[in-house]
Amino acid sequence: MKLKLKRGGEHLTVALRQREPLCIEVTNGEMVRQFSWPLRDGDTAGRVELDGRFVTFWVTETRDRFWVTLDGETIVFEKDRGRQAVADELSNDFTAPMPGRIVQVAVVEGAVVRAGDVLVVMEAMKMEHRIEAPTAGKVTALRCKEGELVEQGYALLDFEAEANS
Amino acid sequence: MKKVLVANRGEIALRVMRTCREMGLSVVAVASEYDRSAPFAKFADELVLLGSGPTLSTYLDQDLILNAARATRADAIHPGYGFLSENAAFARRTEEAGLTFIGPRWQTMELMGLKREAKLHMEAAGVPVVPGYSGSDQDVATLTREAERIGFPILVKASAGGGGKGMRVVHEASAFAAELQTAKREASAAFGNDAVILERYLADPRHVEFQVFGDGTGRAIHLFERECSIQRRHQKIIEEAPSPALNKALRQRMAEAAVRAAESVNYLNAGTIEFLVDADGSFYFLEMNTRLQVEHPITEMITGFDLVRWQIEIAKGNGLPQDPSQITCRGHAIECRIYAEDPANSFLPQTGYVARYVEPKGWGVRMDSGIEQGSEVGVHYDPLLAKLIAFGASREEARSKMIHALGETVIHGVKTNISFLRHVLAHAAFEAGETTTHFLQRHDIPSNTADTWCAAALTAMGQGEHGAHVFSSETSQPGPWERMGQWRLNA
Repeated sequence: MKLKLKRGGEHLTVALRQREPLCIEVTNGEMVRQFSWPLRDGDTAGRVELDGRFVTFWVTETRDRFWVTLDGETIVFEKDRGRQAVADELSNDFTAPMPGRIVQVAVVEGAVVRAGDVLVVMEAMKMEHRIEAPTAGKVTALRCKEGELVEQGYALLDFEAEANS
Repeated sequence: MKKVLVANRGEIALRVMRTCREMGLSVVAVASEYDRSAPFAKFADELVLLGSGPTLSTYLDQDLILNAARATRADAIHPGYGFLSENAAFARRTEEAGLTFIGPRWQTMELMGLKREAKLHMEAAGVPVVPGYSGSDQDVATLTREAERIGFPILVKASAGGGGKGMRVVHEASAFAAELQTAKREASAAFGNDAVILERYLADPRHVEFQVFGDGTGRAIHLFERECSIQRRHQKIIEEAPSPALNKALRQRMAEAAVRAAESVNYLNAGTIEFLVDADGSFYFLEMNTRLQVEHPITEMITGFDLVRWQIEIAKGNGLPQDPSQITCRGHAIECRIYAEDPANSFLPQTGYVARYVEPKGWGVRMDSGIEQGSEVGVHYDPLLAKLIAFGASREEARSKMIHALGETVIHGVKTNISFLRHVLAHAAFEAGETTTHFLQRHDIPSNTADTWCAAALTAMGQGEHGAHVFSSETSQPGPWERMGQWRLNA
């Protein structure tokens, strides 16, 4: 489980190493730092010890960003949805997030698609979900049909990112 | 006077309405469609919507505003600052409609709106003005001759101007002709009038202004000064009262000049006399603002008087509320303007949804804000979100209070200049009171100094966009973060 963040030209990765006691690991290039605080999962305001001092913090997540106010200064991180990050996460995880019905299958097996192309549209909890190609690539296997009901976690298709994308 | 229509928006509309209500007056707000659920619109007793057009056909549309006043049977209009506040034609129409305009007479607004005429008038009244030329002969040869007489560097300003448009600094005679042409072009485009005035350019002056009130019959009083030297592109960002640059003697001389200036035009209601103060202590009339200023709260803090209440009392015909001998200055106040802008990206105005909003608290801390959690900051209006005011027994106390209050302020969802303001206040030159108009050009203001590593680690504590924790409690299943990677709500 990793968060990928971007700030200016920096790319940071945040990983939860341990839940109790909480241990968070931050990677920035070759450097790694670990933080351990007596916080609970989901605490979006509180205080942490930093260089021997207690400082207050506030964290807010919005659609594309994380906003962190720490010791009176606010830092904004962009969620890194860069090419590499997306490619790393790909790992053929095109599974249904919840039970639902396939509304539309927009591609055929073997289709070569561009980033952002709609692959499958699904309806769950009365909302439509669109599954899009995260990068240019190829649909190597298709395992669903329009109108079909699928279980949560069902693998809808296999996708192979274009090698140089 | 029973009902006041406030022809403005944001923090100032709210601030004016509060005093109206305290005085037993009911309040009418006017709001564009974008502002219909803004705090000021919700605060008013009645709300008149102005549609979704641009400012010109909403907050600046005189017919719409006057119709709103008639429809709601308001008997007075408070214009706030900006928008129609210094529009003489609007003040005149308000008066002709039988309503009270809470502000100066339209004739005074007209005179003070023309920089050249205003300067000539003040010079005649014995108020020191910057050596310059403000004649009506706008011939290039005349202007060139006058520029040489005044001496370089010289400032070329649009006569009808404001906000830095049509304003050029010319450092040597050889560049004058070209810069004059540019200034005239800008002035013509911005104000429909290419007349310019020439002034000696003061290298690094301070901007010190005096708050005045007039009773309209030739009697005026002052409520001390505000120093507004910390500016970015002619836009004030930090103001304080009293000025760290004035000693008792200079303060008295400037106050006398300010009162003389106000009395010379039989000034009515609240106004501000702006001066430039040179390093040697000489001061010059810059202009008169015929409205309530953005930074009026610092004067309220050091004098203890509610300036909007004074405006209303005077507009009701009750004369000046206090005898000058009752007006004293106590302690020190600083105001910071919190803007939706990105200091790391050329201070570009920012928009967004205020996802988290926490105001600072404590004795001597005042937040005049136009937003709340859930507010949408759009592209349509000035990016001023709020004004934070700190009051202390001394300048150092006020400064320290401000630094901490800014640190307590949390605005997430829209980038702001809060960190930038904090670093200006923490700068050694600010601490020493070396506040001149070129402060920000002279000093590098450090950018954000927070620990990026630690802040990044804290993002792990954030919540997902659907309220789910980033790291779900069941480790065997992928968290919503991972799932949302490929899934997108069909909005």
